[in-house]
Amino acid sequence: MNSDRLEALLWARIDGTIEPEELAELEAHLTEHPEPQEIERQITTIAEELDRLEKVQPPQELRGRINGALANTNPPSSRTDHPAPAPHTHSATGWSVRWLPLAASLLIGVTIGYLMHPGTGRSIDQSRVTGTMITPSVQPGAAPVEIQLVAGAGTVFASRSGADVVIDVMLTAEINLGVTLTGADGPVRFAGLNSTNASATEVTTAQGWVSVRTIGPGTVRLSASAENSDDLLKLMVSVDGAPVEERWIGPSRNELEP
Amino acid sequence: MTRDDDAMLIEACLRGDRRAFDKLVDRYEGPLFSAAYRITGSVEDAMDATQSAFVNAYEKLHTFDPSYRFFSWIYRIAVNQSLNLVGRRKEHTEFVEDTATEGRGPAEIFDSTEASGQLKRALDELEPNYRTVIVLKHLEGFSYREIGELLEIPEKTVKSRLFTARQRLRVILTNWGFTP
Repeated sequence: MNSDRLEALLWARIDGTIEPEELAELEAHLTEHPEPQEIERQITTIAEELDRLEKVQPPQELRGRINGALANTNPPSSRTDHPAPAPHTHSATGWSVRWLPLAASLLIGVTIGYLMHPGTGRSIDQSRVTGTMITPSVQPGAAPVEIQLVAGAGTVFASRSGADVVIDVMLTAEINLGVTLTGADGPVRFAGLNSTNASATEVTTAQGWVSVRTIGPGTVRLSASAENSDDLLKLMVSVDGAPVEERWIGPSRNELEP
Repeated sequence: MTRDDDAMLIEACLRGDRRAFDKLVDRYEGPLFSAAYRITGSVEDAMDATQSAFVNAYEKLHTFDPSYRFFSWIYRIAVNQSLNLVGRRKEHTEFVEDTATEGRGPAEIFDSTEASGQLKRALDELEPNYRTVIVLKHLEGFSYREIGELLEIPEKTVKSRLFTARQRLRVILTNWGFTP
């Protein structure tokens, strides 16, 4: 066993992440070779000292400084007032500069169109979208809505019947996915969750929105309900914390068609 | 404190209730400052990093993805602010020089034992990226996965970085005659 391997196993034993066969290998090595026991003692002591490091209390003046800075900061916008997604930190190539005018035009156009003809505005077919690039604006659409994640990592499918909404997530890869449902006209309420194989699935609910975070592969079905059957809902999808897609979900296409 | 509590405070803040954000500051001022101090090695820089983290979070609260923990989000901002400060300071002076005179900070933040003092000086010798993973693992007790999420690096990178950091720490201490 070389020294790197020995050190890695000693730390894994301290962290509690060592596998049984690795532990057996380590113990056999330490029994047969007493020389590394010095390294073992060093590592054990360092680990104990590291864990003994105290958390440092902030000076009292810090709170005053934070309060002062916040008092001079513009308050945050509300989510529903500003539906455009947050700037994507990975797209350092000027995404916002290139797309902002188009996004603004599209958003204004869609809003005016929706206000003048709400029924036709919601019937735009948005049944299929590909990729995980952020779309420059939140797009209106009738249910069902399908979002395909990049590289075949899975799909997010939203269907709706009246006020009831079902979000089906199918992940074929190990990705960290977040799905949030909010209402533009009223609150969204959590109704249920089923998960198969997906790990670390967590639901967060608050006044007005429902959110699920999960790690694939596996499937997750989120059920929620809007206040009214014609409430417009917004579906936000993120991967590893970065927003990748935002879509409006109107009443089901079947319900809109005569 | 729970994740749902945070979510409700965020919603209240987005509806214009500033006091709701004050409660988030109450909750997380301590952990953020502590991590920032361990990363920067300076009380003043740690205060700057903590303050900037809260201001940035407040300004961008509407972009926060509620499927994630607020603490992870703002903690990541604070860690990035701390690393930026260390990087900026390094352009002007050597980090070791700034942290060698620990007496400049509040007396209660410094441990009394010699081993702890040696360890802290050895931590300061590490590159900021290595020091950060040690702080997140040992001071905060984050898992590999959580550290990966905070630093936006793969879990495998967390493991290898942590291994190198610990190995370098041991070498530094050994060179200084550290004996268990």
